[in-house]
Amino acid sequence: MLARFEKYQSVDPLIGELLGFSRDFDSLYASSLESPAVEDATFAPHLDVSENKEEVVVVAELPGVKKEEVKISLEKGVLTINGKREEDTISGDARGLLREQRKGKFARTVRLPYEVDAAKVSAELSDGLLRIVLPKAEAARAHQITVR
Amino acid sequence: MSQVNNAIVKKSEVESGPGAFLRAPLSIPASDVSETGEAYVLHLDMPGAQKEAISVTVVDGTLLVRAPLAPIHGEGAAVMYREIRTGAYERRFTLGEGIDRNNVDARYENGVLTVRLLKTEASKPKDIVIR
Repeated sequence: MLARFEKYQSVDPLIGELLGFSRDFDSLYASSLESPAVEDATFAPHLDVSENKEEVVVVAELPGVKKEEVKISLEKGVLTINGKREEDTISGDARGLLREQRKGKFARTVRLPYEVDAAKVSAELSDGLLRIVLPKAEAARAHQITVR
Repeated sequence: MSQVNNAIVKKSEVESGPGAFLRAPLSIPASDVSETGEAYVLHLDMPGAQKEAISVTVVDGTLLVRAPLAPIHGEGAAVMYREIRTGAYERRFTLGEGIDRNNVDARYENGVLTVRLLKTEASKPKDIVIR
């Protein structure tokens, strides 16, 4: 349900903030409507985006997700993370008392702020955090100008 | 002295009011809790925690789970977009009667903490044999 809600770009920023989205999510979600993975998902993982001189780093929260269940793709400057979190924590004769964890299919897209070198992208999933390192393309790197 | 008091007042003003929970330095892990005849099982989403740094304590009928969070981004990185909480995880669960406090088992895997609290012998369901 939240995944669907996040797609509407006209959501009041204050409501967005109350629901846990950042103020400037409009630009990052710009491509969501085009992605079938997002259309199909039941939740969107939280993520951070940072940069340094050489690379853009995207970190997403994926607790309880196995490495094999995550798919990452990069197309036309849009990074898509999608996959599935198994729904097996409450099983058998157990009685559920509280259910807050988000399970099932997830997807998230990020429009990257720079052109990146797709061949050198690396990703690692550890302790429920997915870290994707995207080296900036040569043209996107800041040029150091020497004053003579 | 009055300066100290003022500082405290200012701090509490900042941490109350609408939306204060969003600025709070503590993150509350989303949890699934279930019960079987033998035990209560809690699953807490705690991505980014370090196994060695997680503390699970039972005090006065409360289960307290805590873990500090290491910075996600490297030094010198500029964060452009932030949704992941920083600071620490903390959550309390009030325990009912009949939990064996000496028999608590905790495990951390793939960013999920699983805590198993065994019930005391007396509180387990018992089948009564009809004679």
